[in-house]
Amino acid sequence: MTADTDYVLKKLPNGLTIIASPRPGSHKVSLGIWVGCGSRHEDERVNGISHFIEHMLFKGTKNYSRAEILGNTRGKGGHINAATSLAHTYYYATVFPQDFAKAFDIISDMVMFPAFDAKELETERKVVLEEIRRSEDKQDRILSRQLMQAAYPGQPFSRRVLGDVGVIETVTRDDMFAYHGKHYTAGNMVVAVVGDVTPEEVEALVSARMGGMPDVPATDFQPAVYAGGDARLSRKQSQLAIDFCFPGPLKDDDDLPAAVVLSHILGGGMTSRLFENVREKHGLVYGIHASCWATEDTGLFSIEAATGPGNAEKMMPIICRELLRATRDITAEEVAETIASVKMGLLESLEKASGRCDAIGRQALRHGIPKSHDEILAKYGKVTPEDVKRVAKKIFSGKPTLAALGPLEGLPSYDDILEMMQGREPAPKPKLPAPQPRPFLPDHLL
Amino acid sequence: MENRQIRITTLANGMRVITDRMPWVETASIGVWVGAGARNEEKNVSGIAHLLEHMAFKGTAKRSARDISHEIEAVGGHLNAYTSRESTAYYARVMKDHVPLALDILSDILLHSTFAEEELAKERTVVLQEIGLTDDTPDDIIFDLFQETAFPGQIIGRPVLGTASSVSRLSRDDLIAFTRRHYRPHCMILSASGNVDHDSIHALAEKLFAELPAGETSELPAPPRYTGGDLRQVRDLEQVHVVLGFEGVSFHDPDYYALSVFSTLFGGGMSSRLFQEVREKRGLVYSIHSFSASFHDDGVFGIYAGCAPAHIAEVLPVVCAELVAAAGNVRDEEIASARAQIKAALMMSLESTSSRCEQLGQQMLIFGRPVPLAEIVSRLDAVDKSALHALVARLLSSKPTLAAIGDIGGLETHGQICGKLKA
Repeated sequence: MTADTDYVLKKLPNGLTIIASPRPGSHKVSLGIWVGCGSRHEDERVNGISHFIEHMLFKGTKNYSRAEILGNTRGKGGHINAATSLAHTYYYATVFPQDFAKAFDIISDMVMFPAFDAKELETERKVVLEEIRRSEDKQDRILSRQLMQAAYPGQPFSRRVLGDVGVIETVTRDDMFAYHGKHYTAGNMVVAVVGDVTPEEVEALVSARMGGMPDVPATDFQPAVYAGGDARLSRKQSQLAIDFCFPGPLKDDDDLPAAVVLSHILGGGMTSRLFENVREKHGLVYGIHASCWATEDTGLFSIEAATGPGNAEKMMPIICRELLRATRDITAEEVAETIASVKMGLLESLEKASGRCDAIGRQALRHGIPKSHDEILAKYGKVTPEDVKRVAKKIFSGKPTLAALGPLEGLPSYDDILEMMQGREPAPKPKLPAPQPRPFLPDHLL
Repeated sequence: MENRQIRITTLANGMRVITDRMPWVETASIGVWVGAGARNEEKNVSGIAHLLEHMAFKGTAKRSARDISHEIEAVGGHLNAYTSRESTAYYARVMKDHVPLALDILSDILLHSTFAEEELAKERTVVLQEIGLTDDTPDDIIFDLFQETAFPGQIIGRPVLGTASSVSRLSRDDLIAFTRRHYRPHCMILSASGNVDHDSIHALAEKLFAELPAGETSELPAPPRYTGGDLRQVRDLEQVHVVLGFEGVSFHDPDYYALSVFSTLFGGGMSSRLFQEVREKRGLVYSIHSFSASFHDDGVFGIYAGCAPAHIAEVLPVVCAELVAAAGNVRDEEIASARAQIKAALMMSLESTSSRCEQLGQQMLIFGRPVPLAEIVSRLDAVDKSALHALVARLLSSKPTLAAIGDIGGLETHGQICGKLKA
């Protein structure tokens, strides 16, 4: 540990990363194993297998039954769970210090020696299919899938993390062993531990248990290629939900901090411009948010909102005007507020052990070395209003993706939205009943 | 374990101040918990408690709506609020140096909100959007439908947000009347935790809340009558969302801790009976859990499940059989594990300033005192098999409440389900 970091990072010869952040006196330990595989690493034939494997690891391993996995964690008052995303699978637990060694033994057994029991596999298939059905009742899940399909058509990002129904119905035990063998390798994993345990204890335990894993390089994936476009889906419901996106900076891009500041100014809280205009001034939405999503090969700047039927006609021009205004007008005060908020977020995340464990593990997997808070703040501290305007100009000149779900009436066409993003009001639409035919006049006389 | 530095004092007007000092953190949470919520609404103003909570952010005599949010966000803080059936909370998270600012804003929005007509008109439409969003979220709306069916025709059974038509009718006068009547100092708690100093908070609060006159007791809401019943709605959904429930326990009920142990072991997580039987063994659902909601004079206990229409005919009988069996076959090790889970969750919640602040605010409203962890632990430790068996029998003696939405053709009738719940 150095003065400005709260953790010790160690890489084993086989490529496994161990990261430990001691918190003496905290009476508990959070531990997590990050694996660098998610739905983007799947080919279409096995779409959903990363997530399905995540489920299966709880069903039993070489050394532990399903009941023992839960009994030694939850049964002792602890917590164990997992999550799968586009690019990662994450297994995590929080336990009392006296239960840490056992909990680590279990989680490491899960990632190294899954049983993929054939009978359990059949039951779990049904559960995953239920999870897919459940996601189809969730508006935000359908909308984000629509968005990803338009932004990255035909690519892994356009597919569901939960997987394709046909794949889930048919994927085999052998598929699982093959995929697991390829991705659950030492160089593709990070073990993170935060809590009442010393880094020396952690290192000793982890190297004894996982130091012998074979040294296999992590698998590459196809870089994503942004396309963009329109994806609107009419559905009978109370609200029209929209996700309006532009290609944004990548995770290592120097412009990312300015883009994050921009997202906060536009849609990051109760003082954000979109919140103030769309909700406070016009009462058109309950919530409206802007955010930045950045990976090593692509990024999105996105605005999400939901509004009542017919309101989109009024809402979209307001949103577009605000996006364009940000390319011309950003105050030093707004930038300073955002930095204060970033700082508050960092302080809060330090207070919670499980949150800290999650953050340092994910950063170690993505960046190699998690950034210290001072480093992060220094990067944001350098952002000027000029930077934010320049980055806004760059982002909002990109080709947008518009995903919309719900009652579509009033939602401007994609072309009209392109016009709005050029700062032009789209041509007024003919109102029903159709206007009386006018004698033809040349444009310049109208 | 419990080395907490809790202090309680009372302002001249009767409002109580409670702080929980955590000198090792850099931030603080501070908020006001008001002992009034949707249950305190008159019949014709459904949704007013929640609309009032929204309108508190819309401007005071000296701050515009924009000033309120800007002043707190300029220092990196957050300000938020929520409304439930029996309470309304307004709270802020800030870095330790900005506690006085947070307190100043909280007192300002609680005492000096102007409820300007044009702001009210806009905020009504915002709440209408919120109502629409809830209705589009099946696993939200199902709980409103459940509550309505458990307590039909009663204020406690109405949705906290109100309905589109009730909210459209609410006026500025309604807001003022509700505030005058229910935002009284004797039922308001100022709670703060984190890197805070009690004496300076008390002194500042004495000044800021001085204008709130010591108040008469606000009337208690009408006592609820749990009725039970059946409500089904056909909706175009992938899953059937169903809640099956019973009359539960109040906060002051001797079975309060027994029910929290039971709900944990029966449907509280991955190791619970419902999860094991319905999901792990049979693969019928992704989500299934039980819950217990308490009020000061009553409560409900229920089970939520979401599954494919083809599975519903199988899910409910398993749930019913498990309930009936639990009246006689709870094992000691399940109780021990549930207890350990509840205790661990309590201890872990102590690391966050906001959950400490919230717990103390609620405990002061409900019990009039902070409830020591040691007391909760000893009450949990006293729960045994026979207490749980008696509790389950008690739950099952009430008329079941069933709420279901989706493609519900495969769902049994209320009568059939009642039959399955008879041992």
